Amino acid sequence: MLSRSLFRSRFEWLRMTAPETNERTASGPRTSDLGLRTRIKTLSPPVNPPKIIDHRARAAAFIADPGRSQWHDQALWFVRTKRDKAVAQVPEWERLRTHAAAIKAFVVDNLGELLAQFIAEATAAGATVHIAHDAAEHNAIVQGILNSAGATRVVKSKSMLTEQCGLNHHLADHGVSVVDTDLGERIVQLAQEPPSHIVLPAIHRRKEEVGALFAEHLGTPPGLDDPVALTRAARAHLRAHFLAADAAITGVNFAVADTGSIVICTNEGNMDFGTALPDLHIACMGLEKLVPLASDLGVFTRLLARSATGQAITTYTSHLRGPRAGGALHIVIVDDGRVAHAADVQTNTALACIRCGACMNTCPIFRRAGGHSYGSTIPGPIGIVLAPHRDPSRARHLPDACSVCGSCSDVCPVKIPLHQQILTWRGRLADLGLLPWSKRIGMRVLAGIMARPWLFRPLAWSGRRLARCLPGVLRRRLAGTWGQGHAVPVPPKQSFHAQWRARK
Amino acid sequence: MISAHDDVLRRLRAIPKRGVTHPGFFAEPMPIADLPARFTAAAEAAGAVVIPLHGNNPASALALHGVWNAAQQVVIAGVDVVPPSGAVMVDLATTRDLHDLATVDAVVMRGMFGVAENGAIWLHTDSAAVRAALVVTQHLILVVSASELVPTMHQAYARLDLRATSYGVFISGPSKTADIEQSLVIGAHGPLSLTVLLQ
Repeated sequence: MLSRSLFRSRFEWLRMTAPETNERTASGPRTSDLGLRTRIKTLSPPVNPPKIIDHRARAAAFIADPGRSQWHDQALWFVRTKRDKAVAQVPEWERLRTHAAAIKAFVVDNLGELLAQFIAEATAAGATVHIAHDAAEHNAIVQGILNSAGATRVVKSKSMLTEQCGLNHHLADHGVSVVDTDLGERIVQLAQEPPSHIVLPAIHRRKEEVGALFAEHLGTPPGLDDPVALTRAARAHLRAHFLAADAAITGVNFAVADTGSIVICTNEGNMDFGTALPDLHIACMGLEKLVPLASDLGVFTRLLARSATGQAITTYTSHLRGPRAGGALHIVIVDDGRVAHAADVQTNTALACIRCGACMNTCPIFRRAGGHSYGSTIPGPIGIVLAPHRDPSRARHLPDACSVCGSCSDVCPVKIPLHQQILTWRGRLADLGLLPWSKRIGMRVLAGIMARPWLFRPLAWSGRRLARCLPGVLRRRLAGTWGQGHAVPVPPKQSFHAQWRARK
Repeated sequence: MISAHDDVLRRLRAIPKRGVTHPGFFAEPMPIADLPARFTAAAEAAGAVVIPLHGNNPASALALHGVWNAAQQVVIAGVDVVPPSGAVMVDLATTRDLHDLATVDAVVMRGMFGVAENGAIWLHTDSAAVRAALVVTQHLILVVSASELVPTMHQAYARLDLRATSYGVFISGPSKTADIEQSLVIGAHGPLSLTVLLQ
C-alpha cells in the first residue's frame, strides 16, 4: 500500500507532462515501493458480466486498494483541470455547447433523412455501406467482408462500438487475429480485460503493471516501467503489426451526411497508419454519429479534444471520403437499440454524445470507483443513461451510482442533461418493478410515515433520542451504507420542525 | 424478407418529427489579432517545433536542421529542397509497394493552411503513397505560409471542400499518447517529431 507522502511525490510526477522530464520519471520511486511487482492480476470482472450489474460490489473491489483508487481519482481530476484550462481559452465556449446541442437535436429529429443521405453520398464516393440491426449482425457482416477478402491479420484503431459488439472475440473464434493499436487498448487487450474508460482505456493500470504485461508479451526487460520506454516498445511492436496487416478496422467520430465523409480523431496516428497500407478498411459506427454538414465539424472539433483531454484539437483529425486509391472502404452502421432510443423523447438527447469522456473525468463516483464498476463498455454518467436502454434489468443498479451533483451535465460539450436523465431512469426502473424488495418495501413504509406528521414526529423524536446516546460506532451502523467511511454526527436536540417554529 | 437497410430507415422515418431546425453556421468565433503568434504558440503546445523562415527559403532552414541532416531516406513533395548529403530520395510516384515506405526517415511537404487556435495544418491527397508516407515516416516537416492562417476551425471548414477530398487531415504536432499513467509521450505510431517551417 502507498504511504501518503509517497503518493504525493508520485502525483507530482504525474503533473509533469513534457517529454524532457524523463529523468525525473526514471529517478522516481521504484517498483518495489508499490508492491506491484508480482504478475499482473486481473482487476476487472469477466468480459461477460452477470445478469445484474452489482455496481456497489464492483466499486468496493476497486476501492479495496486505496492507493489505486486515490491515484485514479487524482489522475482523472488532473485531466478535468486540463479541460478547464483549455475551455478558458475559448470565450464562446458556452455558445459552442449550445450550438452543438442544437445540431445534435436536429440530427436526432432527422436521423432517417440524414442516414439515407449519408448512404447515398458515401456510396457515390465508392464506399460500400452496410446496415446491421444488432451486434450479431454487425459481427457477421465484418467477418463476411474479411473472409471474402481473405484477410486474417487485422489492425484495429479505437472503437467503443466494436468493443460493445464483442467483435474481437467473434473474429478470433473465426480465425481472424485482431490487434488493438491504440496503446491503452493494446494494454487492456494484453491484460484480457475491457477498457475502463472510453478515452483512457487503461487508466486503471499503473505503469508497473504495464511494464509487467510488456515484459511478458513484448519481451521488454523485467522491471521496466518508464512510460517513454514502454511507449517506444509498443511503437516497435505495433509497427510490425501495421506492416503485416491485411485489413484495418476503425471506429468513426463523425459521419457527414452532406458529403459522405467519415471523420476519425486520434492522437497516436493509429487510424491513419492502420488504414494507410492494407487495401481493406472497415469503419464501424452507430447511426447517431451523423452530422448534417461539413461546417458542423467546426463546432464539434473545437469541443471534442478540449473536453476530452484539454488539447485544442487531436493530433490527427482525418477525413475519409470513399476508399483510397486501389483499396476498398466498407462502412458498417449499427442500430442495436438506437432507433428505439431516438423515439424516446424523454431521453434521446443522450444520442448526442460525442464520446469525449468529460463526464467520467469529473464524476466523483467514477473517479473513485473506476470504470469497470459499471460493467458496461460505456461507463460513467453517460454509461448510466445508455445502459438501461439496452437492458433495464441488467442496469437496474447503475442509476444509484450517482450523487446527483450535476457536474457531468455542466461539462458535457453537447449539453446532455445527464444527471436529470439518471433521475429519470431511477423513476423508470422503479416503475418497471426492478428495485430490490427491501428498497421497494422500505420506500413504501417511509413514504407512508412521512406523509403522516402524527406518525413521523414521535418516530423522529425517538430516533433522535436513541442516536444521541449511542456511541459513534453504533451511530454509523444505524446509518447503514451511508455510515461507511463517513462520520455520522450527533443529531441536534431539537428537530428541524421545532427550530423552525421557534424562529417564527 | 425486408433488408436491415430498409427496415432501419423505415423505423427511423416513422418516429414523429418535432420540427427541430438546424442552427446554421456558428456566428462570430473569437477574433485572433496576431495569427502567426497564436498559431506558433498552439503548434508548440501540441509538441511541434516551429521555425519562422523570415523570408528565407525552406532549403536554407533545413540545411541547419538536425533531424533533416540525419535522415537516410527522405521524401520531398512539392517543396524546393534537395536531400541532405548522403541521403536517398524516395520517389512516391514510382513507389509500387507502400510497405517500402516503412524505412523513410523524413518527409517534407507543403501544408495548405494552418489554424491559429490549435496549431493544426491541413493537408489533403488522393495519392495512397503520400497518405502512407505522411504517417509512416519517423519525422515530418511541413511548410506552411504565414499568410495562409485562419483563426478557428470554423474558417478552416469554410475553406474546405470535403467532396473533393478522399483523404484530408488536420495535423497538430507529432503523434503522441498519454495512455500509460497519463504521462505524455511524444511519438506514438506516427512521426516522432513535427517541424513546421512558417514561411
